[in-house]
Amino acid sequence: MNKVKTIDIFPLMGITLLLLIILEVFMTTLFPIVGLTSFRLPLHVFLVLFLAFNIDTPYISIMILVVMLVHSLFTIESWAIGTATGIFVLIILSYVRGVLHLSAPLVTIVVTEFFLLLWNLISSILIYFRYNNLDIILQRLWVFIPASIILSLLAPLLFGQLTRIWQGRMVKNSAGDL
Amino acid sequence: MDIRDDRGRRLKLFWNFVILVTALFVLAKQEPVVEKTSPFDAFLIDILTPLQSSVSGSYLEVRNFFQHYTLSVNASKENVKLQSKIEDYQKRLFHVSEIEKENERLKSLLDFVQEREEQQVFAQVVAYDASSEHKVIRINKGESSGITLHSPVVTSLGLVGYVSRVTAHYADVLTLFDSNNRVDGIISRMRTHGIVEGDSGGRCIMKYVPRTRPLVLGDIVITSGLGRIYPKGIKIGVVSEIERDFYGSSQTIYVTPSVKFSEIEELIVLISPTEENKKEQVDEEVKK
Repeated sequence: MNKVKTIDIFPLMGITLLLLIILEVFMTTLFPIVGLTSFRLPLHVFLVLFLAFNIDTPYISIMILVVMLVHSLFTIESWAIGTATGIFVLIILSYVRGVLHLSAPLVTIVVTEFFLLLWNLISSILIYFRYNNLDIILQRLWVFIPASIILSLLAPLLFGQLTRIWQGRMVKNSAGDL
Repeated sequence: MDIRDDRGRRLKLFWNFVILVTALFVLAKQEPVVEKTSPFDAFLIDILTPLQSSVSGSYLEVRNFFQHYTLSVNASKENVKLQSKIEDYQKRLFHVSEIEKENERLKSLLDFVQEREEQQVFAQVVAYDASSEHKVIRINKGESSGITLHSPVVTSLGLVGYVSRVTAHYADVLTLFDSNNRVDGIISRMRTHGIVEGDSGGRCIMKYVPRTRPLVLGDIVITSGLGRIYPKGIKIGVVSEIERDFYGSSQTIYVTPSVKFSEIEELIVLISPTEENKKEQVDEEVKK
């Protein structure tokens, strides 16, 4: 867990959001062109998990909200579901963080897959409460499982790259400004 | 315990609580499928969608470039010249056949729209929704072309969906393949009503059809005109599977839509005349 100074959050979030926008643009245009009309990688979820795993700041929930707002520009999915789910996952993560050490690639893959599925479960419960429709949940699950497996397998590599972006500003085991 | 750590923890708890409550409140209050776009959101979408449009447009160019490069890398100069000539002719041929196909599609669209009284706006698909579970497409026309929320969208083959989000130059169309979209449909042959919803596998499901109605495979389903979104008589699809349980008062009908989600390229947004426009038209006719 790494502390980041509040002032450093803005440029880093800017780069992270730019990355998200570029990936979303490519995913919403190139995937359908090559025939993948029903397959998307939930990269916004992955980014939120990266922030939740690695960044220690009081404003983490605001960062999740911003990621979800940017994602909502590319989808009709409400930002509210993703934000609420992200914060629930954040709360759960705060209880198990002590036993999580994402040092080995295999551990990173398994932990990421677990939290991606947890994300899907929580958001499905919220959708069920909101729309009272069980079919949507099953449909979501079938599409989400293969995407989550691919993302988990890529997790060690992608986490590594994202950590490299944030690395300079992280202050490991020492105090930030809060 | 460090005082700064404790302050940080309390601040984190505060923000977590505030944003969670806000998100849950918005989730509870939000319309399920229609989103009023804020000016800021509309501004960002108008900036980002040309990016999507240019990426999808340049894809073919890039592919052609790489194909050409890999084909000609091992060939002699003469062969390259001949090859490039052939490729040039092939490209032209391909281009002509694409234009021919587009022409046919536009002709059929034109035939279709001439039969309708609503104002029509032709549009092209520029991107798809970022979530795999939503069947939403983004088109290159928006409010500046007269498109409003809830405007029905069709092709010459039949119904596509309706506009669920609109900005000045772009709009999102919630297709009938999406489970959030519900259309009041009727079986054309028997005039039996039912609700058509998006289902998996590129099909729709028609609910609440009384089990006493003797439907057959191939029956055509059209819009009923109820619900104030879709005009009456637009083809939705054909009945492709019928499930009758031993109990219950209704049967489950699977409908294969006339349009295919992955093959939608050009489409028409139908714009009903507003009350003001209708009054203006009546006034003009009275003056004449």
